[in-house]
Amino acid sequence: MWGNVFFALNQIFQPINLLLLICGGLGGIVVGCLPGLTATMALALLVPFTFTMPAASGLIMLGGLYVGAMFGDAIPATLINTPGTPSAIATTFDGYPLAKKGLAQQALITNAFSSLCGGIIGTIVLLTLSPPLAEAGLRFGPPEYFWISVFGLTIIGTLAAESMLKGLIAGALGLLLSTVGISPIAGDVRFTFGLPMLQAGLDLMVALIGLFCIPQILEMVEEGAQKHKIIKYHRQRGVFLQVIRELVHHPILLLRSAVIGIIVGIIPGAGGNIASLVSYNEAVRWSKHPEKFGRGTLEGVAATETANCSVVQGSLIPMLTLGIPGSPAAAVILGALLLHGLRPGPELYTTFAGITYTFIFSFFLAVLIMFIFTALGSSLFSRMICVPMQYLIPMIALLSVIGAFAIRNSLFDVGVMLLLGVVGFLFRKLRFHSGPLVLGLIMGPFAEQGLVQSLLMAKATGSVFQVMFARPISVILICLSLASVLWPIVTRFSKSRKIWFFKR
Amino acid sequence: MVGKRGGRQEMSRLKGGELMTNPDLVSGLLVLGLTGLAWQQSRTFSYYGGVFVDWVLLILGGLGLLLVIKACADLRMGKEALRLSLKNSGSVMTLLFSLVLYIFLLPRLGFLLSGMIILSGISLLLTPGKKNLPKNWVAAAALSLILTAMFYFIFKTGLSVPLPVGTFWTR
Repeated sequence: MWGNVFFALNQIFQPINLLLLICGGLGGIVVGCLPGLTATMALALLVPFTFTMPAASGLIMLGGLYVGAMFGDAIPATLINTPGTPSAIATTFDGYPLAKKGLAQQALITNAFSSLCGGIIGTIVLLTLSPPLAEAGLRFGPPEYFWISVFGLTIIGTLAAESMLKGLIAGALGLLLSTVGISPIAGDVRFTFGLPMLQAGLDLMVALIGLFCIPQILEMVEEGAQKHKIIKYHRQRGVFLQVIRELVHHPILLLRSAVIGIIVGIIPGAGGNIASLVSYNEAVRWSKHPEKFGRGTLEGVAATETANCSVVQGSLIPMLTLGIPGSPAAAVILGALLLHGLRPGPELYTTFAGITYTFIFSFFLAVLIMFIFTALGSSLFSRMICVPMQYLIPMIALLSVIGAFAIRNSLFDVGVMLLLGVVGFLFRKLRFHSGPLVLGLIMGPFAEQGLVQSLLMAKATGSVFQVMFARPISVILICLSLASVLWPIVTRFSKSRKIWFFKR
Repeated sequence: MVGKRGGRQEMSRLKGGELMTNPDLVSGLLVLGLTGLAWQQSRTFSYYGGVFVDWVLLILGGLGLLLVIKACADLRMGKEALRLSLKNSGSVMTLLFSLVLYIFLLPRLGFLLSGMIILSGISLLLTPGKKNLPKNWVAAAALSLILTAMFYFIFKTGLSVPLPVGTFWTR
């Protein structure tokens, strides 16, 4: 373990890795500052840039971007009452009122410091929790991999989408799309429609770029140009230390918000927006002055931003250990891992421990550097909010096309990217969520391999029930999957009954 | 909005940039159609090549049917259908067409030239106000040149990723 720690620290402080971390982080802050762009989209566009890099360097850059976006999204939330990413929705509740009162600098420093605290606590938990969880993954056999895929899909299908039915449909569609190509065990050619290019299946990165980037720019075009009135402020001396001193007097608030963010991050489909809202509600509940919330209080901003940033590390825990991404952004990082030949699970902490610990430790440095940038340079970054659409959208379109092309040097992939982009856009119009579809696409090969290998095991042992339904971990996962599907139905049914009784 | 006209419920109506229809019904029928198509294709698969597909299609078909039933039940109860907003549909379609044209031109004209043409077009499309002002044309052309050249350099030289040269130039 210590050998890996020293190796990781040595790697992180290599000049090239530091540069990549800073570039990724700055890119993330800029993306976070621009309402309409998401961290997931930026990550999907950045992954092709990491193809020729060593795995650790590529992951450091991606991690830096993810963290930077979580720092940057609070800037427009505070200055123009519009969150930079959906995760910063709750920051507008108190950040903008503070800015209107002339306390914009205090709000922005609170954003930065809280995100720093959330990031550090989240990374500590990621570092301590993920190795034992990965070791538990050694007990997973094919049936367990099948059931954990089912569990991941049911959870994200019920949580991510407005409608559980639509979420599950999207997940199933993702599973179906994952079967395009040559089947892993039997070798059948499936759903290629005679096109040889489809024999290798749909590339995950092409799908991610198509599903997250193209719909976004189409929506931005649909919405049209937005004019934002930014609250201007002048930096004053002494405010920085004053705010830090005040926040340090709320250690329980910061710790609680970080834990909420980590727990929500672990749950697939529940992203930063849920974490920050839950954390805000808890902060109101436990505060001695709940009436101050919503009118501009540093506690409100601290609660949301701490949770918002700790979600990053929380979402990586199930992704690195079990291959189930806790958020769409984690799904993109999973795609990058697979592209570099790394498979989530115990192998990451044994054979590839150097790369994994480098990636994890880089978060400590990332949050520290982003804290310095955003605490001192928010006014500079806020100018990015006004970048005109006619400059932004062509750049994203170009990056999407190059990104999709660069994966396999194939124009066919660009066409597939565009087609999936249209599908993703229609999905949004029909109130479907792309998250379950992406997870289905990722988990499909694991689920299929798990199922087919389990059936082969059953053929050898003579009992399908014994193999698929009687193993202890499988039983737990089956119960969790059933609970995640039935729980929303049961709560909805009991709510309707209560309303009916009340009306009577 | 689903309204009643002469005893029959209207299912869809176009109104000033909004398409009012029942998207759940449309989605459910599309899912069922896709399931049927995939089911037909999967009849030639071997047992281990098709077992996972069969289960996925079974679940997808079941969920699609549930969605259709739910949509019909909502229609019967007179629940308001979702409005599908298609604001700026012209600009959206033009952007999509531009991207398709980009894919068409990319192998023929190469990365640099096709990128400059298409990105200038997209930038002009999105420029607010009068698009035929010379300054807008110059800004669009400059942006596309800078972006295309920058990413060409990054990918070709920095990352060693080959980009299309264009069959037009290699003839």
